Amino acid sequence: MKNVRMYLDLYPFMIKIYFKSIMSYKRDFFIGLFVFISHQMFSVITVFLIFQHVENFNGWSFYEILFLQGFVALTSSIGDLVSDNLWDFAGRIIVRGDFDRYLVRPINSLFFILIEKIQIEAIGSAFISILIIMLSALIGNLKFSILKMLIFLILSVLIIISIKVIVSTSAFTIKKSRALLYLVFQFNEFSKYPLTIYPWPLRIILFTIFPFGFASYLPVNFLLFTFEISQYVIISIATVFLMSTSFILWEYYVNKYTSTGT
Amino acid sequence: MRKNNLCNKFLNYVDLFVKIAEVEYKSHRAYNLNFIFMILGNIITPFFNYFIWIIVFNNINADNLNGFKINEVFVYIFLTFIITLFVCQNADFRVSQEIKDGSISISFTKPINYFVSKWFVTLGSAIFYAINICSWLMIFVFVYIIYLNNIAISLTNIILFIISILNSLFITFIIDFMFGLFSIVLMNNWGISKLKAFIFEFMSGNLIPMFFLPGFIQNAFSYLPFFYISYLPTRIFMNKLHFNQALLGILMQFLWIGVLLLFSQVSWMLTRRKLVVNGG
Repeated sequence: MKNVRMYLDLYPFMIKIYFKSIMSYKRDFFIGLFVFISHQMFSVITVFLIFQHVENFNGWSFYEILFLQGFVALTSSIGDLVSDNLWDFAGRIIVRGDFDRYLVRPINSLFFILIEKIQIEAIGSAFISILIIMLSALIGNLKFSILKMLIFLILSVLIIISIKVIVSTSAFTIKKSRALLYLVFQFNEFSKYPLTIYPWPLRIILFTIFPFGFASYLPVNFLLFTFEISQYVIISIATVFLMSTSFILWEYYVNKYTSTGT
Repeated sequence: MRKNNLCNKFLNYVDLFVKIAEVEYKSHRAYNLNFIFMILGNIITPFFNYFIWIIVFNNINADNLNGFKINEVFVYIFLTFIITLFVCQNADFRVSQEIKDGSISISFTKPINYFVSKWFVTLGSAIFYAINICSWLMIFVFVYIIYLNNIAISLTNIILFIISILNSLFITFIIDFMFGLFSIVLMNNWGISKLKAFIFEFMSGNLIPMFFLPGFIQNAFSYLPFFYISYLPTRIFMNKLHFNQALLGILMQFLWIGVLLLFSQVSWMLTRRKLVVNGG
């Protein structure tokens, strides 16, 4: 219990420190924030343009697509917010031998990597995504329960972070896995639209090798169209499976870790 | 005697820049696996775009949009992707990284022009991409076109295409260079590199194919240099322009090169005095 308390106290402390370091480049930070937000607005414009030409997108209406995009953007921005340091981990922490530093601390190495850096800019895009979700639900008159959405949101974020952890553990063997992480997360782009529009091999890939389908299409589909208890079970099993895989892989590789000679 | 000396000096200069480009070319080979993953990750984007826009096209009653037919969408998207891969060598990141870590100060002591040396780095990198990736992707496009037999390719078009993508490379480099200089003012390069990527993708028609955009936006974009980076070469290759229009487009590229060169040199002159290098 004391342990948990320590971990909880540590998190806001690290956020404060990181925020100070970000604020040393104030103008650059605000430009970045602006870009994050305009990227988000831009995806709305794209959907709008598409619906200038078509009436429904494989059975999905304008507001339903917007809702899906808002949901995906929200999960990935919360994922970015919490686990952005994994990009650095995959890119240089192992290569430079910096990982030794994490092993001598009295806290879990994965936890420390996750809290060391917080991408504050992602708050901007998370805010805009919430706005998109709310507006599309209100104007489009979409019916869903908010409690259910929160549960799915948490599960989706956990799935996204687990995938990130699993892919970045490959840095222990190939040393520099940033590009691999990039490759895998490019597949997350596909979840911006209902997966039914893609050819079947791609759909299978999105539910097996790169299981982003569990974090975006499936929950939104469940939220908007079908109502069954088994939905929770499917997504929960996927989440638990991915999370435990990521923990086991991490522990396995950390135990086998040998530092670079630098 | 003096003339000979000048000639020698010039040859030395050329030799030096060829070396710079060569070093950059070779450095790309160092992280092979990383590089392959990166390219594979990038190749996903055109396929994603294709799946989206083909559905839109399927739902439109008209058989063409601004002169583009449904079986040409793939060629358009893939060509713009190849051109972007060749053209976008992220000179802005190179420049701003040097500003941020202070290594730019060494270049002041060197007897070569900073702008020109960065251009040759970009060129070396672009040649690497052209030989090792773009050429294969172009063969793929050619096979696709011959298989479907949907686009008439002519030799003049290919020659004009090559001229125009070389121009695009230079235009992109100058724009990147100017964006890189922003780091002198902002002290960091994260936000500005995001901004540049966003502007570039949107205005050159990579995110949304240009022919899907409403007419007035297309019209507005045609007054900007980004319009001529990938949209012009793509249209030349796909035989969408008459010979005269293509020549006019290339002329516009040269015009933009002139204007941007002027701008970049002036901004380099003005900002280099404000450069601050922290620590050492």
